[in-house]
Amino acid sequence: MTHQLEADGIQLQFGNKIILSGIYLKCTTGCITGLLGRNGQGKSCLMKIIYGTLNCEKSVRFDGVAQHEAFKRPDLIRYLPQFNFIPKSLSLKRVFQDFDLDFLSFAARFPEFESKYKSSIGNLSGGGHRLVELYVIVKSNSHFVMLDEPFTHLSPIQIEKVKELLLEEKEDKAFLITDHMYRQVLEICDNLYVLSGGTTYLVKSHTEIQALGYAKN
Amino acid sequence: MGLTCYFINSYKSKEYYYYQNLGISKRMLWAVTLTFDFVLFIFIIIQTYRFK
Repeated sequence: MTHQLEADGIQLQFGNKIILSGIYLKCTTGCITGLLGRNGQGKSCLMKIIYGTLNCEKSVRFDGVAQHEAFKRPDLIRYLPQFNFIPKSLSLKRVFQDFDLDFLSFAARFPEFESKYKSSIGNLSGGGHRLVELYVIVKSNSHFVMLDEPFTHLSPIQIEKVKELLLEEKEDKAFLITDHMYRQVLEICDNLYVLSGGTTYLVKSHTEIQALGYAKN
Repeated sequence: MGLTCYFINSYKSKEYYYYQNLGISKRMLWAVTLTFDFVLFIFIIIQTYRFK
């Protein structure tokens, strides 16, 4: 079944500075939607607004139904923030149990974790920690997944494996991804928005990305 | 009490996303924790009184 997330009518300002205005963003099952933008343009704020943890004037609709506090519905949407969010004291065993996921499938894809089942998250390397967080969010049962800088701290081989995972999972999920490793995002995304001057622009070519001042060449 | 809540909210703020991704809201976490603390407090008070 196809599901659709739409966000618009968002007005976010801090003091007199308008951060977001004139946003329109759509994510659909089977698609990976990329969101690019320079630092401070409001990409993470936009994700938090959609997730419902940052309050402002907005219209966020899931299959046409407004949802102000999406974080209360993990069956609907899950969110990978740009920072580490799994408590370091928890073991991988506990994390996989909490998210109702099979550790063996994870270890088969990432053999370096085979012996880490009972290790605590805090004992993993930065990349390992990030990979576990990314995997549990991507694989969890949910219609929509938002990933804020998913490739940070990952090695090139891990990035390739994660891209394969995302392409597999998008069959029955919709992804919204933002990352400054934009070439990796471009390779897998079906739709791409650039956030510039507080507004989203649906772009089709690299020339448009350059014109919006995000990247060169 | 207020200071305790403020500091916990500050240094645990990132970890709230773990519980939110599992469908547990901040309000629920606080309610369960404070209820447990209060019940433990009452239990210790009663035990202290009994063995005084």
